[in-house]
Amino acid sequence: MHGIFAQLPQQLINGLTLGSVYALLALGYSIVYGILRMLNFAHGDIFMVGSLIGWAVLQLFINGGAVLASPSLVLLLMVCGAVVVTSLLGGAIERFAYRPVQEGSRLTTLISALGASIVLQNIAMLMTQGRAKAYQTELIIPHDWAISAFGATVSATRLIIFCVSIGLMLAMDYAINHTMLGKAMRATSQDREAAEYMGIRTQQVIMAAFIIGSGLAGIAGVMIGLYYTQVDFMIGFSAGMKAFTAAVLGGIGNVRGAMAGGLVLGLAESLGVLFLAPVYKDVIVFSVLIAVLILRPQGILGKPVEEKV
Amino acid sequence: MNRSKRFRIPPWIIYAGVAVLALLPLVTGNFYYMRLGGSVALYLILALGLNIVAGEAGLLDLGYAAFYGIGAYTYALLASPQFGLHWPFLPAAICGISLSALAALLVSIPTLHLKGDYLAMVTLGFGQIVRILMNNLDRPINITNGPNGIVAIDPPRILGVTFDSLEMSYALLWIVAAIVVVIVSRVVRSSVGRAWSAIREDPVAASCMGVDVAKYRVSAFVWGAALAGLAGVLFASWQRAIFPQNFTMQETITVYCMVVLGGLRSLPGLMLGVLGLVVIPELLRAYSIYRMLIYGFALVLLAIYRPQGLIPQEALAVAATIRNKLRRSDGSETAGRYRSSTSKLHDEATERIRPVIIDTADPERNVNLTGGSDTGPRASTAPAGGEGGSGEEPAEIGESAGTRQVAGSLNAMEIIDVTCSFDGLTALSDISFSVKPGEVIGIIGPNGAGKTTLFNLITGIVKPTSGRIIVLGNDVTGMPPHRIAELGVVRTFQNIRLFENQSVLENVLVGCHLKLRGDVASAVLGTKEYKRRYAVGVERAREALEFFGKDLASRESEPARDLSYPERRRVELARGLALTPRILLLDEPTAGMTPEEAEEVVRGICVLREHGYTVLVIEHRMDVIAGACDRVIVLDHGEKIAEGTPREVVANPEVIQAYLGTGGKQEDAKDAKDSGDSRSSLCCSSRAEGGRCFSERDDLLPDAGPILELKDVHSSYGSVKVLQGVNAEINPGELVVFLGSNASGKTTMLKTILGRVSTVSGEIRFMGKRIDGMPASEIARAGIAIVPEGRRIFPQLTVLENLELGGYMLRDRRLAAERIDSALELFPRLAERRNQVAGTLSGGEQQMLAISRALMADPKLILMDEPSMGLAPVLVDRVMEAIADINRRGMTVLLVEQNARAALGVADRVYILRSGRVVAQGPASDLIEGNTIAKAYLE
Repeated sequence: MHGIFAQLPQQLINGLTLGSVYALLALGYSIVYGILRMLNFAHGDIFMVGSLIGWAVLQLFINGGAVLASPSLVLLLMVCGAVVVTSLLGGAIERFAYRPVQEGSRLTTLISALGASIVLQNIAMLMTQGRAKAYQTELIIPHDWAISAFGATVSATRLIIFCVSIGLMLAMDYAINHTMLGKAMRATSQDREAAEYMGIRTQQVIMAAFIIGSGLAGIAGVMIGLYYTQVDFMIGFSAGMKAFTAAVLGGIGNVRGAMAGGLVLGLAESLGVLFLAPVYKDVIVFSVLIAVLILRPQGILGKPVEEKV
Repeated sequence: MNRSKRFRIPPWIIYAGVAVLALLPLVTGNFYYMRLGGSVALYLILALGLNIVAGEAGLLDLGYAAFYGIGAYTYALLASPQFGLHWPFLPAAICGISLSALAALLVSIPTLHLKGDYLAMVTLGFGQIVRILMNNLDRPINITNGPNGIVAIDPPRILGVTFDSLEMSYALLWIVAAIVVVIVSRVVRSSVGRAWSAIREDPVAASCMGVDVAKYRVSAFVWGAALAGLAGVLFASWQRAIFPQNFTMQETITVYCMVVLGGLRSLPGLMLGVLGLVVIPELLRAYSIYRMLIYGFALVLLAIYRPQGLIPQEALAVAATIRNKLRRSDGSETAGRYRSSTSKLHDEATERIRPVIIDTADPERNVNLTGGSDTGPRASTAPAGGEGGSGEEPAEIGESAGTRQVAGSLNAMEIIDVTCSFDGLTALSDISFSVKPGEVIGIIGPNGAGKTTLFNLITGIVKPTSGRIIVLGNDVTGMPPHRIAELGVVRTFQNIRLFENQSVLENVLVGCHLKLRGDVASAVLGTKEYKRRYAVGVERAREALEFFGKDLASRESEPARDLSYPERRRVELARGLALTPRILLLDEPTAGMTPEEAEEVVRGICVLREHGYTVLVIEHRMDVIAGACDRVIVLDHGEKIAEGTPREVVANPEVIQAYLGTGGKQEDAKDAKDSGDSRSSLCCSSRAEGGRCFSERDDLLPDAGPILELKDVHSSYGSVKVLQGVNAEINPGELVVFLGSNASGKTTMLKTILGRVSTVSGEIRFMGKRIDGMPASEIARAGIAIVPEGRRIFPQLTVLENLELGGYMLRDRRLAAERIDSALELFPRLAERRNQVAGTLSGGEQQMLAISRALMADPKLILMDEPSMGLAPVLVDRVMEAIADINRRGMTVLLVEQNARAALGVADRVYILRSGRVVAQGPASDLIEGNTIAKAYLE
């Protein structure tokens, strides 16, 4: 028991850091789901691509264990590279895999999304030869940049991840609530037909939602690379599940709920490790998902939807 | 559809291919080919199971491989050195299958209320948990042996015979697979299969046909899991070694690919999918790392180009086999055998509808026959008593309804103080009435009066907030819909809810569900009893179909979606009748029908009444009400405002007012409009006069040509023809009203103008330019705004945000802000609530918001779709005044209304629509005087 209490502060820090990344991922998921009501299985894989792009950019600047440029510039370039690639990818997937089946049945859209996810995963596998890629995080953010208190260590890496994620979320929250595009997105998700009547080109709005959501996933991918210092082509699947779980926790389509859900999930996962072997941490996530769906499918903040007869 | 016909692979080729594989050991003893053939058998079982869950019942089960794994692991643990247990095959297999089924039960019961995506995610999560457990349960106690899997599994041992040779296990695999194919195809054709299809196509309609949706969802899950468990058991005994990675998500996806590639719900399709996806990867072995990549692309392409699969399910297949069977049974055993039979089924079904059909086939004769002759029907209210000798069977339809009800002097239905509200909005308040057995009750009232809600309450789809509903002496308040259907209450739906992809006959057979259910075992065994019951069911279904028109019976094997709108209505009626109900609830049974077709339905209702049915019918056509109903109940704004005979009700001033709207001030409003005097209470127009709200319309006025022109416009929703040649013109500055009762095509006309419904033929010109075929957003950008039916404000956005979106097209934010100010000035009520979420506004406020939102973009033409709908009378006046005011300032308005009085008070010109055509037009003043409008409505 004593061991658990000793680890608690550190796991809280880890949980918040991880949770902020999940929240970022869930935010993107929620934006897309809010408008199209489709399970975007590719979201997790876009996140994976983002993390691999971040790694690739990092390799450009590393030579023999030293960074060739200013670490902050490298970090910025990693993020930018990931955002550019993932947003283009998101837009392309919307255009070529999802738009043609927009009018189709649930099973059809699900199949198309699964297909897109498998394609991304396998392209990534072929390009990485199936090997894990190591993020040399310590070269950009040295290990000894850390604050220790109450038996917990807050490393600069964790702090940066947390700040970037929270900052982006606040910015997105502002954008969704106060820009015309944000309002158009919300209008489209509530009533696409009425939005068309306002002259909103909803197809473009959907495309924008995909691009933004995917870009966020790309940044989250870089953050997770910095956190775990190792990524591979398979991280997308469980990341996608976590994004969905977080989005469901907060009430699907509810952007602020998704952020809260991500934080809760990150904490649940980190604190759960105190009681169960680490191999079971995904079991915790999936159990939370199942429990929430069964007990409160509308999410913590969501409202139930009634069918009209 | 043509495309699918072009490259269809004949099913026999596939069957032959599978048969060759099954008999492989006779041809070759090659180890590699035998392995491949064994995989085909295993995947066939897996695909058949998944097809039940995802294909038949339409449940997205993404944890399918977990059930496969549970079966395999159970067998492996019971028949291997792992625990030193060496059970024989049968008990171990039964344990494996049962455990899979049990797991499915545990997963599906708590998730019953979840729909589509959520269910998919729960099962996905479940699948992952199972996989993680298999992978890690080697510590602290070694159960699954972790990633090393379980090896040296016993070969199958049945009755002392050990299937240790490759040939023998191969034979076992294929024998089981063949049995599974037979069983599954029979189950799918039984009442269970039809119930699965019904809940997939439309759970609400299914439950109203007496199908217990929850039960059949669980059963589909359990069947699928049991088959997966069986496949797992066979896999373990065939492979002799299993590992956690055999049961991953990837495996689920592979089976999905097989099922979807070949064609859901199509046996040859499934077989093709399995053959293709087992054999092709083997051929491409050298490229095996690309396998999943190819699968991924294939899935996307398939979803886009061939969502029905390579061999789509044939809606006709089932019906065709029935017909053949019947023909055979007619030939050998003849119908005479049924007639001489004394079985209960015989009385219940075979003979029952026949007299009625004789009646309906000839309506003239029908009237004569009711007096009582060879068919022996009697007046509806007369007790049927112990009638029914051997020679003269009583009309069963009549009897079932008549005798049982008259036995007790109970009311057929009692509605006691029922109130129903959603989110604080009251749809019905304190409704009470009772219905005597055998009565035909009409329920009328303007749009939004709560008529359909009343039906939803009676059938259990919606639970009342307070009050009680008694049906045939049973308190049904809070009962699920399928139980209420079992009591004999059946309904049709306003917007027709057929099982679209099922054939007409299959649709009606779902109506026989309660009669045919419980036939799985006999269906699997193919017993005579089953065939007989089935034949009787089909007979009943056909007779129910014929009751509503001979022509339907000849189209019984076509999918319901291919029928015309009135035909679909009649199929829905037949489906309800097949349930042998005692009370029928018909929600606008004649909507969208021609007068002749409607008349036929009226005749049908009359015949039903003669046979003692109790009928409640929601109708807008007064001729139908007058022709069919004993009594009429009038609802308005959720309250019962009148009750009486059709004649009394039509003469009731309150009813006329409810229908035609409050028109007390029409003259004044007109005067005000003419003189340009503005004295409206809501709009502070005197201050905003003179184009402050909108830019000047001078650019339009001198042009003289019409701003909007419709030339012979036809449009339809699928097979439903709605507009049938509409010609109309709107001139700049005019306020033109389109009047018409429900389903006359008003809303469709607006949607056609806005590009939401595409035209079949004809032209729509806006300011001289063709706009038909343009997307809605571009039409809006060209300068047409709409106040949509039901307002369609964005409920979770604030008032201010709604207005901002109305001005979405304005690039100039400053101008938008100015417009918002003037809109808020026009409706001071909205100004007070500018930061309130729009969904919480009252109906009238929402209407004002919708109007001002439409004005934001400074449109050249504004369309308004029933702005008075669902508003209290006093608000109707205010909204109309606001519209008149807007028009007075130069805005061209096209108003669509059911509330004729209110609209006429403000209109310049009027068109009257009926059944998708303009039946009258002219200046508003002319129409007020004549009785053209009352005729168009109350006839």
